[in-house]
Amino acid sequence: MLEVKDLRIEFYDHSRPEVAVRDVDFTLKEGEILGLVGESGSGKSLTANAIAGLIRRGDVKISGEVWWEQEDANRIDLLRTPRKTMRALQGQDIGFIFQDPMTAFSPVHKIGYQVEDALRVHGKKTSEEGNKTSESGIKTSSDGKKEEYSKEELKERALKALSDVDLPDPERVYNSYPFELSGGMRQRAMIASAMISSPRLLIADEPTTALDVTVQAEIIKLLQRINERDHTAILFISHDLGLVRKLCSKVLVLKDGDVVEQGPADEIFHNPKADYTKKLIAAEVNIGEMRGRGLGEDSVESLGEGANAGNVAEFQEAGDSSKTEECVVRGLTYYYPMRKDIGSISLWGKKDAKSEPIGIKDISLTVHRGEIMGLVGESGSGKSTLAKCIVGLLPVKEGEIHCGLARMVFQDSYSALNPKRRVGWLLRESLRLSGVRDRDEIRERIQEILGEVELSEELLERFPSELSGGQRQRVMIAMALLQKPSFLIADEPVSALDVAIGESITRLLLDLSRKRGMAILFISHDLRTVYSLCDTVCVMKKGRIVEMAPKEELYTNPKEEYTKVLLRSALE
Amino acid sequence: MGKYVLKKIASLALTLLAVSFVVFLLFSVIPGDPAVSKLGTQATPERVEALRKELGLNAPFIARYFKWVAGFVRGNLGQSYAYSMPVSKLIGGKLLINATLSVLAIIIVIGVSVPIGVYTAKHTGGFLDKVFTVINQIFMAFPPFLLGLILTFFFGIVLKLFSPGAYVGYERNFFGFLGYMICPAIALALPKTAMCIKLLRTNILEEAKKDYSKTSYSKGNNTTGLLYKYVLKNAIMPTITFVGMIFADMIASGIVIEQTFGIPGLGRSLLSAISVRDYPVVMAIVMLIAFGIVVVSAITDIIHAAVDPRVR
Repeated sequence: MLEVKDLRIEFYDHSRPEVAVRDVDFTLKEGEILGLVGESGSGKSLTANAIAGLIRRGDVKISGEVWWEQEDANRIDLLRTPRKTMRALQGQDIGFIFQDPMTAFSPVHKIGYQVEDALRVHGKKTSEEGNKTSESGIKTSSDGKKEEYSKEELKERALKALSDVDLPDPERVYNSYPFELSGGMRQRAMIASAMISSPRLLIADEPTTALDVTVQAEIIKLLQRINERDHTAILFISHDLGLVRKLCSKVLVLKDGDVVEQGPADEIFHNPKADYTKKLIAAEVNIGEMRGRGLGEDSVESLGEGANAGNVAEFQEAGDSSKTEECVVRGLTYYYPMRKDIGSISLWGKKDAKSEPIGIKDISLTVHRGEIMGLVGESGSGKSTLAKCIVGLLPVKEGEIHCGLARMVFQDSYSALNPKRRVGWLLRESLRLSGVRDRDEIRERIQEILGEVELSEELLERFPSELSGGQRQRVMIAMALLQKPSFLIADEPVSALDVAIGESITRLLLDLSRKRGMAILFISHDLRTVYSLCDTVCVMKKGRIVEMAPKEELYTNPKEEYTKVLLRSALE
Repeated sequence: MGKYVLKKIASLALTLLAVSFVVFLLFSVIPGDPAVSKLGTQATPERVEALRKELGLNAPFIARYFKWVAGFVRGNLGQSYAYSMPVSKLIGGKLLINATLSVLAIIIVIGVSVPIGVYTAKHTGGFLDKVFTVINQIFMAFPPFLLGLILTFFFGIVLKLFSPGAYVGYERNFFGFLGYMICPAIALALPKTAMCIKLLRTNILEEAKKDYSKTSYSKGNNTTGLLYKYVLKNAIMPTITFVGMIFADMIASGIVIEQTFGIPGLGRSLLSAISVRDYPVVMAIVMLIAFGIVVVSAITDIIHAAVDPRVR
């Protein structure tokens, strides 16, 4: 149905031409699910966008062939077909789902309007084509007339599409604005908007990356069901090997624009040939297996980088001997100031002004010197609120916090760093704020810290935008460390990074904690990373602590139902 | 939404109250005795004292303030010192002149900038886009009164489309009045129109880069569909705010334009009232301008909320 030959994508907006995708070949048959795997920058999204005709032709140079087999067995090259034909395919035969359903919807239009859009654009199939009921014909320029759907028909179809993706109360979703839905619901609505015209190919560009673990699993199940029911082919783009393994029948691994390996999913996962694939799979530690076998010595070792696990064990011994309390939080309660009409945010409690206030309630926890505590929970569970309270970014009125100097590392290092200042300035400011005035001392301390976070000195003259994500996060950590905190709070420091880079950052945190005896609160929704890094784990849900236990205990023998659900959806 | 409107109206009333207090306070403390300025410096202290009593200037500040505010609420703007007639009678008609001028100007701003803004955004880099960029730069740099002079020279003296300075009263010939007001309205509107075009163009281009535009393309929309269905509604918001702001600004800058075109509007009354220390008139005009500005900004907020559900 889809055959891609020698696809090559080059940018030439910089002075030097840059090849982003090199010689990608693959075929996709009706009803197949192909996984496109690779880290960010590997060109997987570009490939997908090129196929769907979403790259402005002026910006980049695309060469190669993308053959699309139409309903009537006609084959057309999507890269060379007139725009008009391409537009007739878009939304009709090719559906596209985006990574972030929040930004992929227009914020000021109702969900219903946006879900119907594909139908509104393409109109009804003309009468000759109308016989083919569920399948779709391509309208070319020849059939200039298209019959419009009436408002009622559009709404009916949209409601059906919304209920097909398991959205409860489609009528209400139809009349909602995007910001009134949860992330999972938005992504479902996005899928509904792509599936409303029953396309033959669905391209899903990292559809679960912006979602919580439990929601991710549901979306994957939904895609699976769509594939089985409508026989829709799916091109699934992801950096998450676990998801690809669950969903896809074929896999294509990309690295820096090159195809490293491709083949049936079973083969790739059980018998990877390329070194890069092996590395990826190794990084993707399968905790599921480990949990099955119980946590023996060998399983701790299978955490991959071995050294990591050793560090943890070694450190734990040291930690036990010196159990000084670093940060004690008792009965902390913080609610965000309520907007009167916030009730509309919850879909269920319509206009219920008394709906539960957002915030955290009655939080008590103790972090010891040198301990790394993992804080997990879905987004909105209050993890970041707790962190901000401890650092003092939110005014605490109820409860007590006893804590040494606490500093925070934020998730999105791109927006957390002042874009108009060079790295050197940012680091110096950090020192100046903690009262260091002496120039030589400043220089010395910065040199020292750069070595510690493994950054080279050349970076001092750069702006944050000229650094890679991993480097920026290291700068963030350096800024925090320069003030010599005894307690470091890392708020999802790796979730915006690629697997391998994320791992190097967690290893850095581990080293720091060991060397300096610094306590770390590591906030994450990635249970795998938490397992490999933390000593104790604390699970939050809806602003409360649900469960708190040493990690082995929590991972092998979770007590609370919610923890079990979290673990199950992460490990399955 | 209804609640939002009510809240806006409440805050509007509070703002006006605060403005009125500041205005009253200001005119109570500035030096210069209105009684003296009315009677002349030669007047005997007894006569001045008698007039002060008559004008109610001897009552305590707070009492005078509340009397003034209470009068305002009932539509009684006070008594002019200089003309011994109700202020409302003195400036009522002039208010209409200034309102017409501002409304005409704002219609020109919206009517011209929206189509051109959309066009230049759609054809970025095209010939007309470049032409408008240059024109915009030029007009943005012109102050309205200078534009007024140029327009008067061009339309009045060269083309003889209207006779400069020959103001036509609305009570005599309403359409003649409108015709006379067009030139000053254009002079007021042009710099703002240029800014509006630039703002709208930038916002449209900004919005068109956002993810939802790609979604819209993935559904098979073409650029026009994307622009009118999705981008415009998102991009128009800053422009709405801006138009609200310039409307307020126009009420004030209209006073200068009046002078250029010889229109007997609020501005002229304001200037003459200031020179003879006719405080009730000055205060009434200042309050009316403040009222206009506050009301317009409230209306802008309400429109904004109607377009963008997140504001509500």
